[in-house]
Amino acid sequence: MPEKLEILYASHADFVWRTLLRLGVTRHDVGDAVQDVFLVVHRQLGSFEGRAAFATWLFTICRTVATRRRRQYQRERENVTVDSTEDIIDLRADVGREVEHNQELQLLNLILDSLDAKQRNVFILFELEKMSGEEVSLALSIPIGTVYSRLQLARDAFRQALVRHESKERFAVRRAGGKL
Amino acid sequence: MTDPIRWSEADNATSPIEQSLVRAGQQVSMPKDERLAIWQSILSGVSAGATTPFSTPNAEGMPSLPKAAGVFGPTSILALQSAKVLLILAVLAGLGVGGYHWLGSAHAGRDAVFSQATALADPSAIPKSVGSTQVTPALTQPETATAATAKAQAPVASRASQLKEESLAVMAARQALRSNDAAKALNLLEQAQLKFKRGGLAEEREALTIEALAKLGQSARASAHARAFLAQYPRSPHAQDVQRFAK
Repeated sequence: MPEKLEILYASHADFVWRTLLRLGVTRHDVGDAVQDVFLVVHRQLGSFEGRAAFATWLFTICRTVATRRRRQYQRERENVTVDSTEDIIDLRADVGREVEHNQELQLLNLILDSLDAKQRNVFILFELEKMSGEEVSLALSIPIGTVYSRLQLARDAFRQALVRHESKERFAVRRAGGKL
Repeated sequence: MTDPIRWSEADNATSPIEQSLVRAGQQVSMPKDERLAIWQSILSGVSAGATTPFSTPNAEGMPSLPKAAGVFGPTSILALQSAKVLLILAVLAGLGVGGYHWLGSAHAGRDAVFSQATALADPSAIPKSVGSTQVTPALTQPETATAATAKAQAPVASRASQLKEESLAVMAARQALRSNDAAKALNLLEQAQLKFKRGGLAEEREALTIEALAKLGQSARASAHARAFLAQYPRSPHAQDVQRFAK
């Protein structure tokens, strides 16, 4: 069984790791959370019916684990936010394009954080994890039509957040120029 | 209903910055050293979990999870002990476990082993849960947990070592390909094929082999390999890339 779990881990660890981070698990806790997810996988693999892609099943586990972690943060009343992606990037193996990539990821996370949670889930699975609409529907247990409508709302919100960010950046540049 | 075109694939419908952001998000992957450390921790939990009552679901319907086996919990004494061991293992492993990615594929973790997962759905493959009266201290007492960890580490070390060696071979081949030395890449891959016939990275090796063959102008062989690959790994994360060679 550990050998089979190892195969699953090898193939899906990245997905679980980034999904947990996107779902609000802190960088500090994500290691434990990944462990939690795969222990659940180990335990519940027999209940996986194979009707959905394995990743969609994994996502539902990630969502539960992340929810538990977030509740824990609330209980502990810690002012914990999703860490900067700097930690992620610092440890990335491929550091050749880190600066630009780092900035992009920081902005992406900033925008994702600003989205409604339901819309964000759809956006993450469809746009970032490249799941099909049907897979997203199964993962989130929502009708396919709802997937599409939430995706559209998420895209609109994403664009608005990006515009706001760019406006702030331009304003900041103008202010800096004025001071100079 | 047809899915909308993804932003990362819709050149005309999205702005360059939108595409860039989404593509950046698709490429995030776990740090390699962390990947190995977490895996070691999972194995410790699995080893102890065989006698641990996971069967009591919490409010969310999820099983209880072993906590003491974690190596990232800042308050766990065991975590500190395990972290030392894992740090050494991670260093020894040379970050090799991270070699599962093929040419930076953005979705390396997705559905790669769907068929294996489906096969694994056999309930007999899962250790039967034990009653709540059989609560063992395995995950609550550092001594027992440490013993479980040590027990798990022997085979793990062996597997990790082999996996590391294989992943290094794959990385070397990938590096050769990136350096436009397809002949060297193919040679490395053929050696790896002989050495790791049942290795965990066969899929990655074969995908690289196909690309190496194509770069060497051996399009017929590349095509044959690609068709075989798609037949064997229809849901592989590399399938889309391999598809273009299957003529």
